[in-house]
Amino acid sequence: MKKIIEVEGLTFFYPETENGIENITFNVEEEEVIGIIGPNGSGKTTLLFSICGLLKAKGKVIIDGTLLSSRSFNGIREKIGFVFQDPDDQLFMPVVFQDVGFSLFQKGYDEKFVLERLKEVLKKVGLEGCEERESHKLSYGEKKKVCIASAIIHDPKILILDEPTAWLDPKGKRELLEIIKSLKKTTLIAGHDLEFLEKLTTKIMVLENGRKIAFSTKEEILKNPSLLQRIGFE
Amino acid sequence: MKHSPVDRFAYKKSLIHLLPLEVKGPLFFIPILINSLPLNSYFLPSFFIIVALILFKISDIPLKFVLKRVLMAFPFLILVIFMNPPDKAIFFLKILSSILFFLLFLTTTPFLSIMKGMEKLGVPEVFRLLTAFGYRYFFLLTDETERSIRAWRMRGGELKKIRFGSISGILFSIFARSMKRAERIGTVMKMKGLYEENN
Repeated sequence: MKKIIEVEGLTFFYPETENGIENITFNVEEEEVIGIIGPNGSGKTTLLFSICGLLKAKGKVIIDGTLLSSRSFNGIREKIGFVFQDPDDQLFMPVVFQDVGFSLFQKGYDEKFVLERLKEVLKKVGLEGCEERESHKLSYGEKKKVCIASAIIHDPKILILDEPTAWLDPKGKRELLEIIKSLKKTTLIAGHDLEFLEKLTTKIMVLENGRKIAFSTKEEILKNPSLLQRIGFE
Repeated sequence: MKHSPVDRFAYKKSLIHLLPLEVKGPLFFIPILINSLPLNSYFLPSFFIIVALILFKISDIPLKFVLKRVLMAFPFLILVIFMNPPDKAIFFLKILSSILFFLLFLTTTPFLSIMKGMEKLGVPEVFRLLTAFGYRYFFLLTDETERSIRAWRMRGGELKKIRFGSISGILFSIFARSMKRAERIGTVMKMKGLYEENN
C-alpha cells in the first residue's frame, strides 16, 4: 500500500504555554482508518491542524507525495476534507447549498456543476433534497452530516474528523459510522468514543501531554488496560 | 433552539410571495425611494402605510409578527425623529412606511432568493458574504445570549436586582465566546479555500 500521510518530528507549542505536540512521527497508508485518542488537552486537535497546515508546526509533513509548506498549502488543502468538532463553526453559510458548495464556488465552478455534485454528496450522507434548507434549522445530527458533505464535495483523498461523535445521539452515531465506512477514504479520527473507533479504525494512536505514547493496531491498543487506564479511558 | 427569524413566513405561497424578485424588489423599494424625497405631505406616507398593511394581509403575514418587528426598530426611530426638528410627524410616517415595505420584502422573500438577487444585481462578493455570515450567525449569537441569560437566572440572577457587574460579566462572556468562535470559523474558512485568491 502507498503511504499517503508521512509525518516526521512534528512539534508545535501554543505561544507562551506548554500545550501542544512534541516530536510526533508516523505514517498512514492509503485507505487506512486511524483513530487518535487521548485525554482532553493531549494534542489531538493540534496534531490534526498541524497535519493540514492550519498550524505552522516544526517537522515534516508529506501528504500524497507533496511536502507541506505555506506554498503547497492550497494544493494539500484540496486533498483533505476536514470535519471540525462544532458544526456551527463549520457551517458558516446560511443555506446548505451555499455552504456545501462553498469550496467549489471558490474554485470558480458553475452553479450547474456544483448542484450536481451537491446532490451526489447529500445522497451519500442521507440528506437528499436538503439543498435549500437553512443551516440554523437543521438538527445537530443533520448539521454533522452536512459538514461531512461539505468536507467531501471536492472528493478529497483524506478525510479528517475531529471528535465526530461529540453530542450525537446513538442513532446519529450509527448513521455517522455507516457514512464514514461507505466513503472508503484514508481517514483520521480524533475522539474519545472507543466503541465508535473500534468499529471503524485499523490502527489507533494514543497521545498524552502532546506526545505519542503508542501507535498500533486497534486490537493491541484496546486490549491494553494499563495503557487505557494511564490516559483515563478505563 | 427555536428562532423567529424575519423570514419565518417567507416560504408561503401567496400572490406576493410568488412575485418574481425582479418585480418585487423594485416595487417595494419605490415607496422607500419616494419617502426619501423632500416632499412635505402626510398623504403619501399614510397611503404607503395602508398599502403595506393590505399587502401584509394578502401575504398572510400575521400583523402581530409585523408589529413586533416594527417595535424592535422603535428606539432608533424615536432617536432619529428627535434629531430631525421640523415636521416630526411626517418624518415618523415616512420612516414607518419605509420600514413596513422593507419588512414586507424580507418577510415574503426567502433568504436564498435575496442572495441570488444580490448576485444578479452585481453586489460585490464581499458584501454578499458578509450578509450571509451576518444572517447565519445572528441565530447563533441569539442562542449564546439565551444560554448565558439562562445560566445567570439559574444562579439567582433577577431582573429586579440587576447589577452592572453581572450584566458586564454576561456581555464579556458572550464577547469572549464570539471571539473564540470567530477564530474557529476563520480556520474553517481557510480550510474551505476562502483565502485562496489572496495567497
